[in-house]
Amino acid sequence: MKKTKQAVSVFSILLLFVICAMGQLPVAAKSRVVLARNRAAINDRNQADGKETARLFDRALLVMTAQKTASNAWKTLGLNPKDVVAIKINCNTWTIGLSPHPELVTALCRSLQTVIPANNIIVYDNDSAALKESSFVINRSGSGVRYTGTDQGDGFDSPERLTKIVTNIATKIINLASLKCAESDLVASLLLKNHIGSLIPEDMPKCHNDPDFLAGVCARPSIKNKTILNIVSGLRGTYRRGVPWYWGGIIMGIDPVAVDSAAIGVMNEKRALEKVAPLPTPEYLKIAEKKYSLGTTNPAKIEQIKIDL
Amino acid sequence: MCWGIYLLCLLLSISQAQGMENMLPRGFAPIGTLQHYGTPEQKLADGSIFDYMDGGGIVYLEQGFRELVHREFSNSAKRLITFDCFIMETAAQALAALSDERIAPAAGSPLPLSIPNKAYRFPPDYFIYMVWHKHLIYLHVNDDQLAETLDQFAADVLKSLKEKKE
Repeated sequence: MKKTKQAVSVFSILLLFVICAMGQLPVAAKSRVVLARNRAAINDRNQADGKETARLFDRALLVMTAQKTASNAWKTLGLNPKDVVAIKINCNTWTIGLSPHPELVTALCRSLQTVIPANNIIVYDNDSAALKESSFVINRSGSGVRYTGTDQGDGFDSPERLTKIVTNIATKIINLASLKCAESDLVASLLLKNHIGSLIPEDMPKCHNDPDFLAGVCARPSIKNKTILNIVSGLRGTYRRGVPWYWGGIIMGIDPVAVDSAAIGVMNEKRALEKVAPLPTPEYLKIAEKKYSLGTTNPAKIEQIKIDL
Repeated sequence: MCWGIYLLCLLLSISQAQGMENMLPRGFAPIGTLQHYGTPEQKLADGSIFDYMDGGGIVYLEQGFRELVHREFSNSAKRLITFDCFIMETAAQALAALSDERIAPAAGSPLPLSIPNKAYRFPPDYFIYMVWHKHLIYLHVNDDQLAETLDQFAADVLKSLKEKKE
């Protein structure tokens, strides 16, 4: 009997060892978030350096995926040569400029082109005028990266009440938000808030004072199932509503809730330096975690990797 | 009776705001058309405040926002000046909005104008909030090297408002 127990124990240990060696240990993986900074990527007049911004993006992507080439990194994220990738940006044109820098969007698009053709990339926001004001040129032609607004006639999908760019045209989605402090009911306007711009216009105001609605947008099947990467651009961000600083970095991850949490952490670091009370975790982020299982806000379940170029 | 007084006040506010639309910053010309935004319940020609500034609008609504008159100007160097006149329900609410750091951040310093105001320089941005009666006026230029032009524009807008009042 004793020998049998010993044999079972030895077998169990051996089995565990084999599983570990194969990398199949059923342990819940942490959400990896990369916080990458490059002070040379932006100057104090909000002018981005294309080369340094590309270096920042490329390095963050490789660290994020633990790969050595951009092509392999994208393949790790599930990108295939026939995919059409929609990149949702947020052109913040009211008061101080917080739109993503074209240099960053260019770096992202160039990197994607290691796997897919340029015309398979669609950079979009809801408002074409805001895109233009943010130095993007509308391009709906059959060559080059496409830039468009959801107001350009692609239409909206009825069941999901989202732009057809997301539901019908794109096979993969990248969410590229800006590091923006709102200090209203939203606390911050980051990744989850960004897809409000993918909604049918009459639904957009519903995100205000309704955290469940806001959290639920990113849980809609097309967004939840197609999103392969989430990025918050903090080359220039705000840590208080309307008060900018040049953080000079980007925050990247697969888990949108973890990336939003990390972004709020970045704002709170700056707020601590400026002796301003920290921002709380927004209600919609808690709902996104608990109700919609979109990710985690739990620091113990987030692996943060910080890079300073 | 109350509705009549309210409508009269609203019309007076609109006429004052529209008077300001003719003001021009030095070296700048208007671009686009004058835009009007209302509350979610009472949308105006261009929609509600959420159509203009998205999420941030909620803070203005909390402070009694009724209407926004918006206009933009550009110069030959493609610099942009934004003029926004937020019309609040009462003068006290307009003042409270200026004190609300979610609207006018804490880092502002006042210009030598005869009305409550705060100015901010966050290169390359420069902007001013000022309050006159029920109006919270926001002026912004996307190149702080043109701060002097914006300061002068603020003074001109104020002068125009006072003349209208008289």
